[in-house]
Amino acid sequence: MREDASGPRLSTEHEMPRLSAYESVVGAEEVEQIRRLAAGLRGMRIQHLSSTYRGGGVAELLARLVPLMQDVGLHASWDVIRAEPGFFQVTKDFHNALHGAYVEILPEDYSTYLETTRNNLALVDREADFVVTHDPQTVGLVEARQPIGRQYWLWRCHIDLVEADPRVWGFLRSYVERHDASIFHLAESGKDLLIPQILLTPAIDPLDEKNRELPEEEIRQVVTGFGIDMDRPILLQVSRFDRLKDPLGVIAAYRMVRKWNDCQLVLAGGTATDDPEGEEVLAEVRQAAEGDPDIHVLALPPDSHRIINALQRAATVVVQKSIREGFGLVVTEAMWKGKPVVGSAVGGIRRQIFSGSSGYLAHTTAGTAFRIREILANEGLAERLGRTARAYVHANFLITRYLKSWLLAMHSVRSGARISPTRI
Amino acid sequence: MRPFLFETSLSLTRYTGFAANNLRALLKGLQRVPGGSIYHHLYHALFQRHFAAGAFANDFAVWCWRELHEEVLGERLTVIDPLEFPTIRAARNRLIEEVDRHLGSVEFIQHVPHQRQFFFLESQSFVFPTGKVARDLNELAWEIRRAPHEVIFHHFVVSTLRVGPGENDFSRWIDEECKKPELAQKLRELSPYAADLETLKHRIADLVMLHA
Repeated sequence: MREDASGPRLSTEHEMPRLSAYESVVGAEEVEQIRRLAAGLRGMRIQHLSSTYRGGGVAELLARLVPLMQDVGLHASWDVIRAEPGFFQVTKDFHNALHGAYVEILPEDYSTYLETTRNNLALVDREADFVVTHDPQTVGLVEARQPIGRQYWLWRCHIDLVEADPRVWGFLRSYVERHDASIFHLAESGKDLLIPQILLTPAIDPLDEKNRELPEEEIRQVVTGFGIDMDRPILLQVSRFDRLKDPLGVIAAYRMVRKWNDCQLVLAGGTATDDPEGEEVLAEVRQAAEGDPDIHVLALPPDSHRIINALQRAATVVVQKSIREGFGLVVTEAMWKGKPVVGSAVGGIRRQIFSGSSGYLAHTTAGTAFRIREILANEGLAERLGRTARAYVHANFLITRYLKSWLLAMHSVRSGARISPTRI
Repeated sequence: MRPFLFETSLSLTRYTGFAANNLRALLKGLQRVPGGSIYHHLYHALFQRHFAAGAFANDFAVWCWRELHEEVLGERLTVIDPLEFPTIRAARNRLIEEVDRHLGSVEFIQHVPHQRQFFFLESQSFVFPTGKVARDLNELAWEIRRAPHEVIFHHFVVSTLRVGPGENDFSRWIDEECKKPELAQKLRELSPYAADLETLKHRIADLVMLHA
């Protein structure tokens, strides 16, 4: 994916959220608690540094988080590095290598990284109380850290480092450990580090286009517009057309289910025209679906948030049959909509679904099919799983909780002490 | 009479860097991790528990049962009641004792891959006032009913670590300031295991209202 550093300072795709707007979702007490937590940090400057304002989960999260931080009294800002396409090719290679792929990184690639980093050092706000670098693209900006002074640096890692290439990780690690703390999604995606490793799971925004309530009429209009029958069960997987999301495995599971239960399958995902493998997988999926009018393969533009929202709300069972998964926010989205999810027992999905309580975890295609059949055969079960799933997301994975965790992380690096409890 | 000052406790989760892929490594971890990690997996698990129907009561028990398929040890660990212990150290010693004893009786030690390891996390708690105050039992019941779960967890569940086994902040205040020992005792007898925190807070508020 090509990275683009141009664009507005904050995404204009959504209206700027205000904390008070979330009272209707999380309650006034929760909002008041966040404000009290923020009181001790009021007026402090926090600068987020990332590689792009648009596209991808990091930009989406920051577009919601930064205005909320401002709303609770912080001077929060978000800046992106300026770089040539060559730099983003290098960081893409880093990204793949950190995910365990074999990528040849040449000495001149490291030079490109170092040069771009040096060119962006002036971007760092010297007056900021907290500087947060996101992912490998900006970690090197810690070079701008003052040798003396009370500026706290945090590295927010959004990727899974379990199988990281030791050469690339070795290069980045020296920068990471010059921060005061690191922040990972999950313990299993972290590394042994000399600095504290804070865990902060990603969150969804219940008020954005992807997750807000939709009128029944609109849902029907969207779904029937794709030729999907609203009166028959709908199985849905929302994901990029990527082998790691196993779309062919989903079709295989659907065919096992079809022997026993009438249903339709919807595979909806973004098209990535600059990703040759994505096109290839999409072609394979279309071929596998050929001849079955009940399989709907929807290649949607990347900003189809409202359509995805409608499809998720219309689904009877949501499937996430990933082979590997960082966290899986799409699972959170479906759970928030009260849908029973059958997910693979991998990555963050294992942390979201308590199998049998808030959805089902499966290890195989057959297991996925079996759980789908179980849900289709029992209407009460789907409702019970969906209710627990929504409650779990409400308590753990909403943007308000994310904001609260960020404020705690800031208090944590300021207090420095490992003593608990800390009075603030 | 001193008013009751409501506080809340919010936790930040951190990874300690310790992980276990078998029972022996779990034992080693239990002996070495910071107290905040024992607190996280034993006490804080109570906070999450009601989402997982039929799950064991703490993370150690869940892991031994689900990942190692050590059903006997899972059962032994799950009956360890964190609210019985005056200190984290006492709770840690009891966990060590159970795992050590079980290790002595097994012939084969099961190993699990990276993703299914037990990752020792720790909680760093931050306590701060909510700004809510109760001057009598009516106000106490009213505020309890409106309080977020974290407030109930702080004053009623993990307060045993501050004020002693079997005791909680509400009972103590009712006993000392309102001079209602019977009500205080009834609250002490409420089990945090019996229901989720939402149900629990309404039970507490109902009991307080009955005696107001």
